[in-house]
Amino acid sequence: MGGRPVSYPATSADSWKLAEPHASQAQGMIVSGYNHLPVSQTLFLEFDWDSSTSGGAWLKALEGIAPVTAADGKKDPSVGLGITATGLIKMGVEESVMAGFSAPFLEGMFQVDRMRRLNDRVGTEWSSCVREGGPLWSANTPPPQVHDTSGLMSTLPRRDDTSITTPITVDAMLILFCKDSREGRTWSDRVTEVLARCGVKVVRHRETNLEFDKHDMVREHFGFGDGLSQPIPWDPKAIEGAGRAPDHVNGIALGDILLGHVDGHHETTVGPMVTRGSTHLDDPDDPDNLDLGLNGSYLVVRELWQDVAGFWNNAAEVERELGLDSEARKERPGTWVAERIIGRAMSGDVLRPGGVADRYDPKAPANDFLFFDDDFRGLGCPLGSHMRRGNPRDGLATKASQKDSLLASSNRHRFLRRGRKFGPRIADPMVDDGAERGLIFLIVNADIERQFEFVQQVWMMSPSFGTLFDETDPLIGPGSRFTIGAEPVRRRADIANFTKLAGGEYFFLPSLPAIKWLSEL
Amino acid sequence: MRLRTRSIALEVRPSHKAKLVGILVNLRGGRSRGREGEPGYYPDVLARLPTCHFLSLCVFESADYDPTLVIEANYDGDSGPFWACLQHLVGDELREALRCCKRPLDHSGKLYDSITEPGSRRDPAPFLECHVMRPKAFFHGNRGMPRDRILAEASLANAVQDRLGNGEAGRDKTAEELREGLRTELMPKFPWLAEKPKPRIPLGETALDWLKLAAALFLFLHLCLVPGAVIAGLIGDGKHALLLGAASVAMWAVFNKFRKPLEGVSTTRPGLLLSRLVSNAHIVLAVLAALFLFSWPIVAAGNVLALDLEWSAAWKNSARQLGWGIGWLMLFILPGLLVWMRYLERHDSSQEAPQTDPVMLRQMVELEDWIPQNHMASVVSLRPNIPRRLVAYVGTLLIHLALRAAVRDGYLGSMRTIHCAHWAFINNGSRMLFLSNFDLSWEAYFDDFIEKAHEGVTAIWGGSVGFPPTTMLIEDGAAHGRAFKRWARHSMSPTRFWVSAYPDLTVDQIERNNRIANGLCARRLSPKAANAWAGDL
Repeated sequence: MGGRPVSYPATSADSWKLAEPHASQAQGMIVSGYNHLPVSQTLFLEFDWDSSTSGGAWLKALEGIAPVTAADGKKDPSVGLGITATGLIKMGVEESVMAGFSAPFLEGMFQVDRMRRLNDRVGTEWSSCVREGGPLWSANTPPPQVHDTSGLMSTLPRRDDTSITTPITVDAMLILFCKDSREGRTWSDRVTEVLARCGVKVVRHRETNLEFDKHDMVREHFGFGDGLSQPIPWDPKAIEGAGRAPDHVNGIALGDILLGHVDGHHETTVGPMVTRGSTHLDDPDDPDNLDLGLNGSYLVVRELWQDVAGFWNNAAEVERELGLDSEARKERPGTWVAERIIGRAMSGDVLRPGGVADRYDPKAPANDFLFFDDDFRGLGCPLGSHMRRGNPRDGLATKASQKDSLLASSNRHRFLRRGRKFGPRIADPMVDDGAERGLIFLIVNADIERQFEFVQQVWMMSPSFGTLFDETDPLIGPGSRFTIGAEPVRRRADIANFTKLAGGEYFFLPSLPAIKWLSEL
Repeated sequence: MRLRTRSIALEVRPSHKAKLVGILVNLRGGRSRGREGEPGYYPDVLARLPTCHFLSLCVFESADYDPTLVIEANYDGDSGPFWACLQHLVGDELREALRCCKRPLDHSGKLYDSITEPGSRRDPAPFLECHVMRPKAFFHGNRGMPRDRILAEASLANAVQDRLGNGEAGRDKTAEELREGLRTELMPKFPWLAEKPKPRIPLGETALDWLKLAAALFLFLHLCLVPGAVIAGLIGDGKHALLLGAASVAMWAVFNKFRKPLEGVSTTRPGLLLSRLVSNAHIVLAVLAALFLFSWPIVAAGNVLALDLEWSAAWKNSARQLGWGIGWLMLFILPGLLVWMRYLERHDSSQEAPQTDPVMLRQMVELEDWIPQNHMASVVSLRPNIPRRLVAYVGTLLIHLALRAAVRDGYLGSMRTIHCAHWAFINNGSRMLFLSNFDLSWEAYFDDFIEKAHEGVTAIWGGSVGFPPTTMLIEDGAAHGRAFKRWARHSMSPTRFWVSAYPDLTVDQIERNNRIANGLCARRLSPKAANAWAGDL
């Protein structure tokens, strides 16, 4: 990459700000990872109220004890809220309004065709990426009712179950962000009590945290830097100080993470329209109707359990099979293989042939690197590594003339990551302590199909990513062979799966005006 | 052996639609060896159709027309043996399917009767051959690769991977030593490694492709020279210059006024077509020079015959006529055609949210994404006005010829996920049929279209009813991502029966396997070439 960064963004992934009125309408967790609030209480809620309770009562009660935080500045503590499609229906949102939401949100993550695409379940079997016995929680969205008078549905070849139910039903998710664990627990206890009075049960509770290390880096349980690569949204009308053009390497359209703005496919995402019966929602472009989605977004949540000892022991075993001597390098056994599975060194820097990428800021790994010019064959960062599959940048180009086009194309599938880990840090990564730990994987995107599902299906789980054959993501895939670029010939290893899906769902992240509208139901 | 892409479209009796769907669905029954629920791995079908790459059968349904049975076949070599093999495989089912179709009103009606009458044992293949359509445009991602070669090279690539294992055995060798070792080891199992690989696209075919493109362009542009040449014969140069000046200023003023996209239509930087023309000015000038040179003898001969001029005078007169013709072409006719198109584009309606029948949609998504490849089948109606139709017909032809001549490596824009795709016009050219066998998911396929090839897609589909608004023929249109996807889904029908001869292989992998095989066929490679070859392993 020479000695200079590829671009000098006017805004960075950490510093972009929404302009008013969007900032005071969108939820704060869209624009911020709340690094100043490293502990969070994630409450999964089920609506269990009786007929005398109105659908919006719990939101009114929440306003008193945990009001959802806007994106207009740092606040301590802060709150984020997501509601599933079944949750909205239980709250009393009419069918005609629901029809305005996107299909994946309405169908839910565990709709049978979506599960196949996401590689969670193919045919009648859960994949090995899912915890034994299947996921524990979801919205339990009923399968879409298609009124088939033609009888053609019965001609389909599929014979597996069309409806999956999980033991726990989640209708909404509340995240309470605060500075320390004790404060958070006290707060979540009070919130639980208040919600219970409105017929809302907390059916699952995870304390999650960021846990910065001495280098100010967030590490997931396997020990690698997490959330290092974030896109930089761009929209000259709605982002303060947006430059004249999006960042060359990491720029995405604001509409890719916030509904009601122009997205990467040049269209303004219009959410469900509701009639003007409320004074809380404003849409200056449409005086008669109100856009319930404006400045809202969709949140993809997947609870992933990590078997840390399994991961490291497998990496060490593979290293031995490949004849690599970790002791000579004075590092933990398995480190060489584990770094290649991720695509980054333990320091967070992206792997390059013979080392790692240069840093332009000595305190943080570079994030404006590309692949085509510097590591075309994956001799540093393997072609099928987790990082490269998650965001191939210009690495899928096979000719120099395709670099810009492929980079722009890759960026149209990116999303903001807001995940946090749960469970205790493991004392010795090589020894299983039996504790449950993992990641609440949260991503913010406006088009679930084009962003999250595309990345999961076409990049992460595809056995045909690039020119690779019959291998999937080595970190979250079901376990497969893994090609590590080398000269004169590649190395190849069999990598097992140590990351299991324990629950997941698609949530609507309503704007603050939309929350007001919902609270009046 | 050349890969052929053909399709057959037959109207179905509405009362027999359900029966026909049942017949096509039952073609799967008992044949598929895939996982439960998968639409198909068909070793039996493929063994008995030895030249077939992809085969699909579907029934299109729409409120606008009666159901239509479409058979799509992509196969190597001659048509006769392929249809005969298909008949041998599923002749009885095909006869039953034909019984569900309407009796053709043309000359094939009697043949239809003889095949479908009760108790008939007559072969349906002649009837099918009677109705086979050649596509108006087609695209092959792995051009010049017969099925046998694809499968043989895949088998070789697997054997290479088995030999290499985890790669440690090759650590202490050079790439060339590694290659030579593999070649020696694998030669007994793959004796064809001793032969020089056949060129995928023979020189003669390449020359013919360019010749066809040049001829089509010449014909189109030559016709556009006629108005200028005729006016040159009627008035003197002074008046002619005044007339052309006034007409072109007026036309360019109108053009300039209307060339920009309407409010809410613009998706990319406006003026793409013009900027392409300017940045490729040298090519435009070369084309005009070639046009002049090739037209000159034709026009001169016309002058000799029609005006009874001497050859020397005819050359001079025709040069003058051609000069004026090119002037009119560039200054008036081409901008005039674009103004006409802009007028139509500004008044054409487009469908922002066409409704897809939920039952059809559910069937489509249930049949997709079982293997790394997918199939799509779409029929759209063309806009009824004549200029739009002409643009669709001529544009499709020119795009096809340009793709055949210029695209040798399977890349459409920067996308390379299409195995076999084709466009054909059905129902007297009023509807456009699109059938495609592609890699990855339908969503990813259309994202590729939107992000990497929306200009070409807009040029082909822009004349279709309901297509998202276009600007200057190639701009916007398919770049309206969500609208384009909705429009495309709305036009699709579920593929009832679909066979792929190599369901695990993507276009990229077939190319990679080909590079591996070619490298192993070589007796010797330079160190640089051997390293590049080893990079594919």
